[in-house]
Amino acid sequence: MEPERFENNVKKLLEGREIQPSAAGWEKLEQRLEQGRKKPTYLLWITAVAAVAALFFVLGTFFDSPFTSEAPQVVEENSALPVLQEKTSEPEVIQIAASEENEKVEEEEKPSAERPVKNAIFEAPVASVSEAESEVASGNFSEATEEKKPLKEIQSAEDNVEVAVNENRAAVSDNEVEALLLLATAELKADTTFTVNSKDLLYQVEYELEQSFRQKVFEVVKEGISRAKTAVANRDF
Amino acid sequence: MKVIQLFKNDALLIKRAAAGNRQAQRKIYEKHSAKMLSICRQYVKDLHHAEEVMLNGFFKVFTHLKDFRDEGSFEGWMRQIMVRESISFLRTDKRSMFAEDEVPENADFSYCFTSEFNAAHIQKVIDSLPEGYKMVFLMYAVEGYKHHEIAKMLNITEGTSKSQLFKARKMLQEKLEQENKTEYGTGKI
Repeated sequence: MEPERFENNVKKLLEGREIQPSAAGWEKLEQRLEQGRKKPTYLLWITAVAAVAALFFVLGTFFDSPFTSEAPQVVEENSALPVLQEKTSEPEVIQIAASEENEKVEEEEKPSAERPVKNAIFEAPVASVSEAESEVASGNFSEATEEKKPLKEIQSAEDNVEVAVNENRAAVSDNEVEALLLLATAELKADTTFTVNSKDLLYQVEYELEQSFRQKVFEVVKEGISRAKTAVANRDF
Repeated sequence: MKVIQLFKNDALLIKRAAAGNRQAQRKIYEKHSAKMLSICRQYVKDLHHAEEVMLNGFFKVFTHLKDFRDEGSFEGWMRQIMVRESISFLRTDKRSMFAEDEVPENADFSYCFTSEFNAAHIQKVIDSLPEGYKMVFLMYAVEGYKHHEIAKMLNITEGTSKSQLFKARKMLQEKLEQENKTEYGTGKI
């Protein structure tokens, strides 16, 4: 009974007691309530989650399918094809070299305005090619008969052509270069199927740049992860 | 000019305060703050800290006012919040220690309690108790919590709660007897 009576007395005394808080108490409380109203914690959490989700979304779209088109594709080509291409292309240079002297003669003979140097080159090839080939390959070397010849012969002919080209390369004059350019322009103009789409070209360049940038970013990320793994494994953090 | 009283009863006041009406919240604060500070002061020795605890309690009251149901009294609900807030403060302050001891059966208590004791003096004596004793004693004697409720709130066992109450009573008895001898003489109530 004693403790209960004592405790009841204590309770009565303490319950009846009042302590006035400081005058600034309400202002403090009001300030906190205003802050709480402005930035509720759940809103902060929602904002943070939304920000993280947006970041992942942006990264996801930016690095979409990163492993599919990263590596450059290797295309196997027929080994004989470049040889043939060389064969078809080299004779033109040979033509130029062989017809150099003829051109000089023609220039001296005053070329007409309608038929500039280009025409000289257009006209010259057949004869000059055969001459050059006969000089260089010392035989009947032509595209028509090329496939029928044995491989060794073709190889030796190629080597000879290259030697001849290297010898004559220094002798190519400016006029010939201009003539070649004119020829190429005329061919491009004549070829209606050949078109260069500027947009496609731009896209291609952008894509290649993007690929390289992605690769760099992924390398950095990989390196960071591996470092973090090592640090965690070694407890070095 | 006669001031028109905006909030005639507590229910309306609480409703408006729950809706975020700052004036209603201020009315509630002004009405109950003195009593709530007294409750916080019972647990927290320093008055400034006690006021801080009270403000935290009021902040929770106003932010959770929608959770209040008219099942009990509004003041009782606020008291609970203040007590919990005070306990939380003492816990973070890490001053409360609860030592488990056996509780002797039929312990005899004969408190010396003169009518001249006032609330401030009792508060002073209670303040001199260790935090663990003080919390259990106040929760049991003043707030009326049961031992299992105290055990749950303080995260201790019921036995510890009983032990702390026993020790608190004993210590209070000793202190009051000592003070009676020196100041007031002996007088039992």
